[in-house]
Amino acid sequence: MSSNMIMLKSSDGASFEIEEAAARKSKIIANMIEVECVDEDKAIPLQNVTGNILALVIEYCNKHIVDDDDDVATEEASEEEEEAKKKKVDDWEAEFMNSMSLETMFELLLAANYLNIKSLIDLVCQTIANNIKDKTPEEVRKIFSIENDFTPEEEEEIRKENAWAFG
Amino acid sequence: MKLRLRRYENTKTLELEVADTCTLHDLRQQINASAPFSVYLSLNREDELLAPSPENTLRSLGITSGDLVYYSLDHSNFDASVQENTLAFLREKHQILETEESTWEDWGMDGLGPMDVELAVAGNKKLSEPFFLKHILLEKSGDTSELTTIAMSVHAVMLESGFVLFNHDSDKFRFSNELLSVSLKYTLPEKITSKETNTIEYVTVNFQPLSYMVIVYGSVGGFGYSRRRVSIDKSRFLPVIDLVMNTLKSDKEGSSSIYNDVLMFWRMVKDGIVIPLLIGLCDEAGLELPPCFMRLPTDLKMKILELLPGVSVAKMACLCRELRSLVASNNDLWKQKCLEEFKNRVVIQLGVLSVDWKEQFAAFWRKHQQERLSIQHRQFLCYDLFI
Repeated sequence: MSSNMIMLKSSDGASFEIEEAAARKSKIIANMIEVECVDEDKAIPLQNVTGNILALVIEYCNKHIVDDDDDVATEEASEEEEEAKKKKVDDWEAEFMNSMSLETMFELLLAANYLNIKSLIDLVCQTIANNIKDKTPEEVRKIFSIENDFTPEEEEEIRKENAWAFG
Repeated sequence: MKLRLRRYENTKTLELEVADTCTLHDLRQQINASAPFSVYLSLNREDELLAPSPENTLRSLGITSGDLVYYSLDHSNFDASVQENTLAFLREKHQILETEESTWEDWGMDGLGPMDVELAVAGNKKLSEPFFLKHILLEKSGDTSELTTIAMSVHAVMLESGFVLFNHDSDKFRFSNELLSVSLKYTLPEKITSKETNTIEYVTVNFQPLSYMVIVYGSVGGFGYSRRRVSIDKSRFLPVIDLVMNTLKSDKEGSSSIYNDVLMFWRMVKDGIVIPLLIGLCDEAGLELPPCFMRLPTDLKMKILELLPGVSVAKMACLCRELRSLVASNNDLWKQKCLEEFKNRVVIQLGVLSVDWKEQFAAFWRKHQQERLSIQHRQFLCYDLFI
C-alpha cells in the first residue's frame, strides 16, 4: 500500500497533509489524483471547504482508512472480533458526531457532498434522521429553524391529509 | 502577551513575549534590531501586516496572545495592504457599534497563552470553537457579577457566529452589579450599509436571572417573533467559565473535563439561540442562510427523508411548503416506505398501473395501529379476568 502524502488546501488558505489512501475516500480527490497527475509539491485547492471543516473530514478519512486496512489484514477474523471492531467504529462515529454543533454538522454534510465521500454523507444524514425521528413537527421546526410558511388554511388541509400519522 | 513567530521560508516557530504596548515596529525591531525596516510581517502568509499609523499597538490590529505571526526578509512574499479592523472601521463610519476595547488593559492577557495550549491538547486540535472564550477576556468589563459572566459568554458566541453589536437607540452596552436584567441587540456587518439605522434588521438577546438559572431569550426584531429560549444553570457553568479564565490553576486532567463542559455550554447556546437567530435574521434580511437543513440541496434532503420511518416523513410534510411538495410528489419514496415497513402486506397487483403509495402506506399504518390497539385491549381483558 502506498503511503504517498498529498496536500489539501482549504478555502481559507489552511494546508493539510494527508495520506493518499485516506484522501481517496473522496471520489473527487481520487479523480484528481488519477486524471490530473497531482503535482507532489502542490496542494489541491478545495474552494468550498473551510479549514476547520476540512480538519474534521480528514480526521474521519484517517480513521476509516485504518479500519479498511484492518479488514484486509484479518480476513479470517472471527465473528466476535468483527463485531467488536464494528462496535469500536460505531462508538467512534457516535462520539465524532456528538462533538459538533448542528451548524458544523450541516457544514460537514455539505463538504462531504462536495468531496463525494459516500460513507460520511451516510453517517451525517443518519445522525440528522435520528434527530428528527420521534419528534413532532413543531419540535423539528424549532431544532432546525424551519419556518412555517403555510397559511392557516393550508396548514389545516395538510394536517388533515396526514392526520393518520398523528394518531 | 505571547506571540508565536514563524519564518516564512521554514517551519521553525519561536515564542516571543511582547509588552502590551508593542507596535509593529517594535516587533520588527525585536526580530532584526539592526535593520527593522527589512522585516516584513504577515498573519496569513499572503498579505503583509501593516498598521494605519505607527502608534497602533498589535492589539489594536486585532492580534491577541497566542497568535501566529509570519515574518520574512523578502518583501515579495507578502502583498502589502492595510489591515482594517472591521468593527473599528464601521464604528467610525456610522457611530452605531460599540465594543469595549478600552477595557482590554484591565485584564491580565498573559494567562491566555497556557489556556490555548491546554485546550488545544485536550481537544485534539479538532475544534477551535472553545477559543470563543478569548472574546470574554477582550470584552469583559471588569465586572464579575454572575449575570455579566453568563451574558459575556453568550455574547462571545454571538461574535464568533458573525454577529456585531448594534445599538439602535441610546441603549448602552454596559453591565453593573445592580442590573437585574440585560438586553443586547445585534445585527450582521453586511446590513450596516446605510446611515438609516431605523431600517436595519436586528436580533435581541435578553438575560433574566431566575433563582439558580439565567434564562436567555432571543428574538428576531424586538419581541415576540420567533422567540427562542435557553436556560443556563449557573451552578453548572459559572465555575467552568471562571476556571477557564483563571486556567493556570487547572491541571491537565481537569482541562479535558473543562473542555467538555465548555463545549457543552457552547453547543447549547449556539444550537439553541445563536444559529436560530442567525437563520431568522438572514431570512428576514434576504441574506444567504448559514449551513442548515433548508440550505441542503434537494438530493440530500431526499436522502434524509429516505432514512426516516414513514410516519416521520408524513410529519415532515407538515413543516413547510418546500418539504410538503418534496414528500407529496414522490410516489417512489412512499413505495420504498411500504416495502420497508409492511413488506409482507404489499401485494403487487399486475395490471394496476398507478398505485398511490402514500395512500397505501396510510392504510397499512391505520390497520397496524388498530391491530396493536386490539392486542393491547385483549391483553387488558385477560388481565382483567385474572384479577
